Parts: sequence; structure tokens; C-alpha cells
Amino acid sequence: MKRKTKIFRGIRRYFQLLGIYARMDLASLTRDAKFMAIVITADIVSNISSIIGIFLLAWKFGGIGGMDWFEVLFMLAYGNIVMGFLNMMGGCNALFPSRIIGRGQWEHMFIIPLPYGVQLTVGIFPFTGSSSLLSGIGMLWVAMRHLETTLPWWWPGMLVFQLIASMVVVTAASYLFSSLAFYAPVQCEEIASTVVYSMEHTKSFPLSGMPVYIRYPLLTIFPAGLMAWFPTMILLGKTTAFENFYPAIFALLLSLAAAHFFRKGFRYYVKKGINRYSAGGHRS
Amino acid sequence: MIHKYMATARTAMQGKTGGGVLYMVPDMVMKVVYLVPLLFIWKILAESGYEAEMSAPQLLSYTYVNALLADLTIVNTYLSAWDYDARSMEMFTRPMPVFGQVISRTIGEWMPQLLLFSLPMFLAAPLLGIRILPKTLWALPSLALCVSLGFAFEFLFYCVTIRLRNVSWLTYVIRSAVVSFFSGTVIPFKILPFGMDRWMQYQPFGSMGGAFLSLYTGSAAASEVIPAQLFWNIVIWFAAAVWFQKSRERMVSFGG
Repeated sequence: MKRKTKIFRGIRRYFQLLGIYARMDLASLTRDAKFMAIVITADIVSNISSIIGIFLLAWKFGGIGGMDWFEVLFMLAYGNIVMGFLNMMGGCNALFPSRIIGRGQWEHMFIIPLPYGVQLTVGIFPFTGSSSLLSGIGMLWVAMRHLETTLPWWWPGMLVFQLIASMVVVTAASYLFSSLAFYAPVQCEEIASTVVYSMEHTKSFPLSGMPVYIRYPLLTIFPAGLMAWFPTMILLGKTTAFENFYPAIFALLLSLAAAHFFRKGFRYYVKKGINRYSAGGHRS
Repeated sequence: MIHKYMATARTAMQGKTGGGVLYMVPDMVMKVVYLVPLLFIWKILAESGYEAEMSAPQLLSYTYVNALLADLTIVNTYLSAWDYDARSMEMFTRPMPVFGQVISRTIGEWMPQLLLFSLPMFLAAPLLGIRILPKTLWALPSLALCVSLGFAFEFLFYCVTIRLRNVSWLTYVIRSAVVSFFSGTVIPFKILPFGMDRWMQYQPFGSMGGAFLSLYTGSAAASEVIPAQLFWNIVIWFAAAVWFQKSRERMVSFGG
């Protein structure tokens, strides 16, 4: 009974913290009208730019590699939802742990009386960081209205399942590479952003029609294909039953590898530590 | 006179490789990872028999050269980075003009990638079946104008950062988003639908990488590209210099 109460209190506290961060984000957005206008403009411009090139190509050529233009739009929307959700949830660099490690900020987390997982996931930016997610949902709706396939009843569940798998793949890849920052904090401070941004840029490419020696590495060694293209193929019914579960299996294996190497790096870090700040407060 | 700029460039170059060349490998790998699928998109489109305003070899060459010279076609200096280490303040403590410092330092930072990535990739291009030599020698002055305009935009956007009181992230997001599409470095203007190329090439960002690459691959004439580049260089440099003079005293640095 006592344990159950503790769990419920923990969950309640978690949502309270989410609420606090959301309120702070809203306050930051609305602190002055000029700032708010700039943020909204930046979001609109950035979201349009991220997809417009490939979509215009698909429009011009009536599709790319066997995908018609609304299938391409569906893929771009799916990718926007994946990155949009991660950006919204990972506001406090949770998606880029190499920054936290490289800047010596993981040590700050030692003294906060919350588990690391909670500290990393409560820092949401639902107002300033959700534009990509919202535009992704809008584009997905437009694409789905124009798709010619009939969707089965379980399709929404499959969509959520694939989205979770894609998000886990990106997060796990980021944490796996960030493990290096424990050993080389200055040089690897931005390794997570290099990995995540590269995956983000590469996710927009429709891999249909590309040879297997291009497709397979992008589904295994550098899994940018699992961020949008492959799940789109699954959701459009263009894969086999086994292939439908490939993203989830891959996400699980990658997470296990990331957890192993991150713990190993962390054990090294607690012995060595880092010191990058000058007396003036700037980083070396 | 030139010695101090050379020394700054050399120091910046050493700073890039100070942790060991090994730490540059991820960036190079990521460039290749981004380049290869894009090259294959052009191949797929060419094999599908679609008619475009640029041939497949031109498109391949366009994308490949852009990957090799990405730092030059879209200039990014430390002015657009987060000012966590007070580099913007340090600029004013050195006995050198700010513009010269930023330019020489940035050129120095380009060198390791140019030598270790671009040069080998340039030499390997014929093996990959990519035409790597420029169609016209006008591509060289065009590249110089493209780089010059890139620096002008850097100072202009730095003024935006100063005016917004160090909202560096926002400035960076707007700048990257605008430049990536409007510079034409990823998708050439020529193959955009709805006749967009007619006006895209004359907007200021169109005189950056896209202009140089279209000359390089022979998909545009020097008489169209160079005058537009010259015009935008004059306008943007003038705006950047004036606005920087007015903005510099408002600069603050918070650390981080």
C-alpha cells in the first residue's frame, strides 16, 4: 500500500514538473510581443524550409522512386512528427546528452534530488518547441486525405507504434555516440548534435528505388531510413509482415547497446570528472 | 600587414585539429552519408526518364561540388555560434579590425576539412563517374563573390543577434532555414517547378552557393550570375558595415 502511494506521488510529481516547465516556456514566449513574433516566424520559415525542397522535387517529377508526391509528403510529415516530438521533449538538451556531459553539467544533476530520467524528460518546451510536431500532424492529415490506400482499423495503433520505434532509434543513437563525451568532453561536446542533425537531414530522402548497398546501411549502420522512409513504407502497406517489426527490433537492440556504453562511460566520468569553466563563467 | 591575418588563420586551423584529426572524422562521415543518397536521387530521376532543365551529370556534379565546398558555399563563422566562450568580446580586445579577425579565423578553420576531406574527394570524383572540373573559369570569381557575400550575411545576422540580445539560437534557426532553401545549394533553382528559378536566382541568397554551382556546372551563364553577385555584394556589405557600426556597442555576453 505504502509502495503504491509512493509510485502515485512520484507520477503526480512528474506531471507537476512537466507543468512547471510548460508554464515557464509559455512565460518565455509571451514575455514580449516582438520576441513572440520572431519565434513564430522562425518556426514557420524553418518548418517550410525543412521539407519544401524534396516536396517540390516530388511535385515537379510526379513523385520520386516509385513514391507519388502525397506519399512523399506523408514521409516528410512522419519525419517532422518524430523530430518535432523529440525536440519538444528534449528541450533541456536531453536529446543531446554529449552537450550536458561535455560542458560538465552532468555534475549539476548529481545534486538535484530527482532521478536522471526525470531530470532529462521533464524539460519540455510545448509552446516554443512544438511547431515541427504541429506542422507534421497537419501535413500528415493532408497527405492521408489524398492517399489512395484504404487503411485498416488497426492503422492508428501501428502509426503510434512506428513513431515510438523511430523516436527510440534517434534517442538511442544520440546516447550511444554521446558516451564518447565521457572520455573526450571538449572534442565530443557536439557529437550528439552531429549525429542527430545528420539523421534529421538525411531522413527527408525517399530511399525507394535506391540500390540495396545504399538502403541497407541507412537502415542499420546509420539508421536515418528508420526515421521516416521505412516506417512510411510499413504504414503504406509496402512491406512484409516481418519487416513491419524491424524498426522495433532495431530500436530495442540499439537501446541496449546505448545503455551499456553510456553506463561504461559514466563509470569512467565519475572517477575523472571535467573542469571547463573559467572564473568569469565562460567555458574553455 | 598580412602576417597577423595569416597567424590568426594558422591558430584557428591548429585549434580545429588540436584534439587530433580523428575528431574530424564524424563530420566527414556525416557529409558523405548526406551526399550519397542525394546523388542517388538524381540518378533515380535520370533513369526514370524525366525531363529536367539540367542533365544528370550536371546534377551529380552540382551536388558533389557543393558537398566538397559546403563551408564556402554557405559561410558559417563563429559569430553565428552560441557565444559561450566570449569570443565576440575577445574580438574587441585584440589590435586588429573585427572584420579581418572573423574572416581570417574562419578561413583558417576551413583548411583542415578542405585538405583532409575536399581534396581527396575532388581527386576521387572521376573514379565515381562525376565530372569535377568547372565548365567555365568564371566559376572562380563567382566563388570569391559567393564567399564574400556569405561573410556579409554573417555580419548582418550577427547584428540581428546583438539587437535581439543574444537570442543566438533563433537567429541561427532563421538563418539556416532561409539559407538552405533560398541559396539553392541543395536543390538547384533550375529544376524547381512553377518557373520559380526565374525569381529565385535574383533574390540575395540566390547569389550565394547556388549561383556559383550553376556556373560551375554550366547550367547558367556568367553574364546572368556575376552581375547579380556583384550587386548583392555591394548592397549587403554596405548594410552589414553600417549596421555593425551601430550595433557593436549594444553587444553583451552572458557566458554559459
